[in-house]
Amino acid sequence: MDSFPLVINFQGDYGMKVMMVDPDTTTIGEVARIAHDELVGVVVKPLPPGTRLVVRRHTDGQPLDDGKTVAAAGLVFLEAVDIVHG
Amino acid sequence: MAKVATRDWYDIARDTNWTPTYVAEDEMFPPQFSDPYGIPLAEWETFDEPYKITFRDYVQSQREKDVGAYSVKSAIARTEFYRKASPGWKSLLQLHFGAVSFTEYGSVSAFARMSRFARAPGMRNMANFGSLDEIRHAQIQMYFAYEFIGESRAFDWAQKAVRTNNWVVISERHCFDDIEHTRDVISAAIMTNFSFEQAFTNLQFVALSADAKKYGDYSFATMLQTIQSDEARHAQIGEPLIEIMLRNGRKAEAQKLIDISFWRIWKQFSVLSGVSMDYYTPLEQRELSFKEFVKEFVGNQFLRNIQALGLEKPWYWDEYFLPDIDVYHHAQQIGIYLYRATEWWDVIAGVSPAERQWLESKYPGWNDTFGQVWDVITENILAGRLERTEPKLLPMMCNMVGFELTGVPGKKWDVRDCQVDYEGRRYHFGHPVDKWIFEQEPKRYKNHMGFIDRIVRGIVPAGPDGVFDYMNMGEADRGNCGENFAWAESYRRAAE
Ligand SMILES: [Fe+2]
Ligand SMILES: [Fe+2]
Repeated sequence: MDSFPLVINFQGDYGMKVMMVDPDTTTIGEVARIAHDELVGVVVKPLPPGTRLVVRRHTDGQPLDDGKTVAAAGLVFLEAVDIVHG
Repeated sequence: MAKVATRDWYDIARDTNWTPTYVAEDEMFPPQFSDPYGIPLAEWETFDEPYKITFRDYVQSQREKDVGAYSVKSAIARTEFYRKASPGWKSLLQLHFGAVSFTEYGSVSAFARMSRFARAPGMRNMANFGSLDEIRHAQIQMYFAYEFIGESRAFDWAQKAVRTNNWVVISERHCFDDIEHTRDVISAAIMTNFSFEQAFTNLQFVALSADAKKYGDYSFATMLQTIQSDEARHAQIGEPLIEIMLRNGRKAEAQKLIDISFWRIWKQFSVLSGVSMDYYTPLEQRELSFKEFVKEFVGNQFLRNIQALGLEKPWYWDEYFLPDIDVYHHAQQIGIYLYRATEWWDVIAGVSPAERQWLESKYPGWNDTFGQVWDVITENILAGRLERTEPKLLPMMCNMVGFELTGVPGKKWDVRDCQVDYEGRRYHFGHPVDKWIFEQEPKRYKNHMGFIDRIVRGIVPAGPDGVFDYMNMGEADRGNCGENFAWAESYRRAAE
């Protein structure tokens, strides 16, 4: 169930957002994709073609592996992640 | 019979301290309420209020103020004025009355606690007038708001707001409960009278009243002026208290009270007054930009006052406060527009081509930052994609301020989250100063559930209307675009 909140800091946005995920099935790559779909064209301009999104832990800038689930990546309840252009 | 001059009886009449015999001094004035700083009674008795007034004079001058405020125009004329007002001015009134009225009512009890627990007789005397002042402020604002109740549901919120869990109201309660209602009377008075009233109420009541006059809303302008004249008097409780604290070796404590409260109140006013002045007030009637008002009324005056007392400017002044004047309310304004359905007032974009030009001239770089988000919003409206103007993701909120956790968007993107892990919970702060305040006294703040905390922990009912039910917002209470998106049309015209 999508009951686990992450804090999303998407490049270009004016503030952070909250995304509810299932930590055991949602991957880091999916977090980036959902954030992209929800925020680009809403608060952020379309990204330059070919832009790859990188997800990093906000606290220490540690890049997170796209293929890992949120739980496997070790993110805590309300962990903040940066989603930036790679 | 010859009348005795006020100055010959005033000091004796208000010197109401005595030595209790039925109870111990500490039972009558418990230190945790009256004075946790252990300052001797003889010192408190030197409290000398700069502004002296007798009850007879007080009643007479308050009566004159009320006559002036209530009779500028008849109720019918005020309603007529409201009907003809621009959408921006309507929104400004809706926001003001919903956000301000209940904090005035709250201040009644803050002063009443001073009257009961202060050990300085002069302070108790002034605080009595303070309570009466705040009763008047609550009444006059609710009265004026009530006149417009047939015009918009938003004016219900003058009465209703405080009893709801609307996120804006939760933020206000967190701030004003902290500085006015949950500390001993000395700390609360320094925070309320000095930081809040002396530094900031000028913004909402003098600066806004200048805009109101220019706009031709004389009754609102007069009401604001009469309120501010009371504030200017009872705000003076703060200075003698600080002098007594300093004389008794409590400078560090006084400084910290000011550093905490100045920042907390700044965040509230930045949103309330900043958005009203730079976005809602019609362009032609803007007296000064919010930044110019803050620099003049808050920056210069507050610094002069604080330095005259022998205190320092808050530690974050140059590094954090001055830069925040340029950004915070612009970021908040975007969120307020996007999440408009969660607010009781109709929101105003305030970003037509002419308004953007003004914003860029007052805040150089606005187009490359905040303007980048407005470009996206504008395009969506012009293309008829209104559903894209309301984000589906919830905003993250600061655990101290209770507003959105924001920074600078666009080409100079810089949004940071300051975190604290405390007793197994992660707290998020929008600014290093908010984090610093939490760290000064984690026990005070740790159990508070902000609006987003309540959602992610399942306290707010699920489902599409859960958030609205939780905030007591039926459909008619939810804010819309106050101009029904017509502002964006000016871009189409500009393109043609
Ligand atoms: Fe007041
Ligand atoms: Fe006041």
